[in-house]
Amino acid sequence: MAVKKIYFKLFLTFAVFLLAGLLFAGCSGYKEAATGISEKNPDKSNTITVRDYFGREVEVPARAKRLACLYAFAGHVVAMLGKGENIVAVVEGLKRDILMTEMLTNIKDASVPAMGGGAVNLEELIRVSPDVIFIKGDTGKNEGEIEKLEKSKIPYLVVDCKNIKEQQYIIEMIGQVVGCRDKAKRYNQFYRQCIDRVQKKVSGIPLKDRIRVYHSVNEATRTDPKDSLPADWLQVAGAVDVSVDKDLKLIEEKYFASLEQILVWDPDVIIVNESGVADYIMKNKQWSSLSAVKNHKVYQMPNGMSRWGHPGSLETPMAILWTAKTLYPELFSDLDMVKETKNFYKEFYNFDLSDETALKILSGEGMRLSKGEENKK
Amino acid sequence: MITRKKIIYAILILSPLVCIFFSLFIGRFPLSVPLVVKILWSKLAMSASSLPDKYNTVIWEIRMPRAILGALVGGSLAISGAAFQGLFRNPLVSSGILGVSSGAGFGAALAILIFNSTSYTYIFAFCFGGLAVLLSYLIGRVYNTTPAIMLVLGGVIVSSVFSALISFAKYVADPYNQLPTIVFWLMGSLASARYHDFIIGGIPMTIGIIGLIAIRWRINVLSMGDKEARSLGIDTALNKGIVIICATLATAGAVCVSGIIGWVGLVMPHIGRMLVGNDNKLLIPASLSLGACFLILVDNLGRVITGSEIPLGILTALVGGPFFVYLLKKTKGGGW
Repeated sequence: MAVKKIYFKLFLTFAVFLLAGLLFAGCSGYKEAATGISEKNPDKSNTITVRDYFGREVEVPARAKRLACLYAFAGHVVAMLGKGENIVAVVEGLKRDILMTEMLTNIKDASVPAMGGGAVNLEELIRVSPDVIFIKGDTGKNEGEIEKLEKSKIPYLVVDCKNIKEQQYIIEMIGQVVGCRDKAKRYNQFYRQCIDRVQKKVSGIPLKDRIRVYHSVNEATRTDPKDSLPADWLQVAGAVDVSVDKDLKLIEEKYFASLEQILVWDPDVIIVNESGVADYIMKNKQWSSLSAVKNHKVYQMPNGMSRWGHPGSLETPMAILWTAKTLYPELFSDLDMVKETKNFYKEFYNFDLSDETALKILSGEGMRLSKGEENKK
Repeated sequence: MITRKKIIYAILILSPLVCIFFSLFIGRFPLSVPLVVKILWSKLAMSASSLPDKYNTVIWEIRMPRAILGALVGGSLAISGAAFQGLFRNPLVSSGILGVSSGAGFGAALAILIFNSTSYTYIFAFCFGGLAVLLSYLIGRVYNTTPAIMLVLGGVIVSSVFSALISFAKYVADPYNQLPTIVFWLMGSLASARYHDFIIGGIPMTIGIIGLIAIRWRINVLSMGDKEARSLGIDTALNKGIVIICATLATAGAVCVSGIIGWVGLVMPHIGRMLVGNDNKLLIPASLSLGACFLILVDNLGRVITGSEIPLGILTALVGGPFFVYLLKKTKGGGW
């Protein structure tokens, strides 16, 4: 009797495991048909060597045809370079950029190997078998993730930047990888033109007269540390970024300032890059005594492909123009942001914007889908 | 004897107030001591303040709500710890150990996940907090020889399951909208405390605290054991239920305001016991007062030690962990 019972229990345990296994297999199975292994894999002997953000010399297939963009910035660059249809894997965020999905229908079906912004699912990545993987600096510093990527034998490139110069380098590097160096160069040329255009007017302003700006990144109290892209472009735009060089609280790779600290800085202007945050700041009593709030100088930044001026935003040159005009309207009265915006997306994304959409981008509202909607269309 | 009691009560009421008062002087924004006094005075005297708005904001909108909320949270955690210890006749339990905090935390995360807003978090936090106590209690009854340790083990199991569920909730949450909210909720910080929080978080905490204070003498009776309590004419099931509901309400409110802060609920009642003895009539208010003072102090410490703030949970765990070991040694895993 007792023996029978043990067998029964063993059987039961086995059955449970089997069932669980089947369940998981069922869950992951639906993607099977989406992509097969590509026959168009470029000749492996034909490779080029590039240097990534960490200074690693990496050998990648020339004119890589299957691209995994595990950092939204890389996706934006690839799309700008006109190779968006080669993207086979993305991060979830890319699926929610309205402009991006409108331009590239393949994004919606692209694989997401790192669900929930978490760890990379190696098998999913190998199944998609990209020629090259673009990852974020944070991922590149994570030993566990790197070990996995090494195992996949797929070359990965760290694409990140701490300032404008590095961003321009990375754009050119991606251009080299996907075989569009010219366009990348053209973009950087435009980037430099924007900087020159603004610098010509603001460089004459003495430091003490420059407008002191607090830049809120997503959350109200999240802001820029020193050696970051926003810190660099804000300075180029003629602003003094109050949070640079100060003690900030670091939580999961993000930097936060305390409320009292913001009160100590008392910035002249607050710019925020997430919709709703400006409203929150204006209505919150804890912020009410700031001069920027009292003088109604809290501005929502534009949001196009990405939030303009976000760490790693490709629209940084546009953010520089917008910020310069917002801070010093009398100096930039000749700058028509609607026109500039339309030109920008036409020139680099071949996207004809209506005035209405351009205004929508500039208002920073409604350019991103909320959770769940990315699968509906 | 009566005067001694009065003195004790006076100390218990005054000390949190003193702590709140002193924490108004501590922070990043440079304000000298006379200046703070002046700001306080100008408000109390209702005179039109000639001081810059910013000063008022720092004191009245940032430091004051933070201190008061800290006091409420610390008090709630400590008082519910004391209530659970009395109720289960077990010196090793608290709302953290019984899994109430993790349960409530998971409830909050689940509410954010389902409704995509924070409006239902309190109800969910309360329900799952209650569920956690119940589960811990049931697991604890599986094996009756060493009830004190079994209850702790039950709590360990329940709270680790709920912690895992929290991680799972974070994993499936939308990384752009929901995840920051959940992380923010669970982080355990009073940094952004606002008066708004009093309305939603303060109510459950206050109800819980008042309820426990009101029936504190019954906890004495309950702690004698079911049979004895019944023979004294007490409806044990009803009273136990009320104590658990109040303690869970207080804990859930605290978790909703400031995330999971461990150990306060375990350590404070014991320090209270060293000071005022075992009588719950005095111990319950003493725990409340001690918890309030402790959390304000820890919060201030976290603000002062480094430029950037140290999360509360780290400091309370550094104090509470070793203390738990000491308790284990002292009680030898048994009851009182």
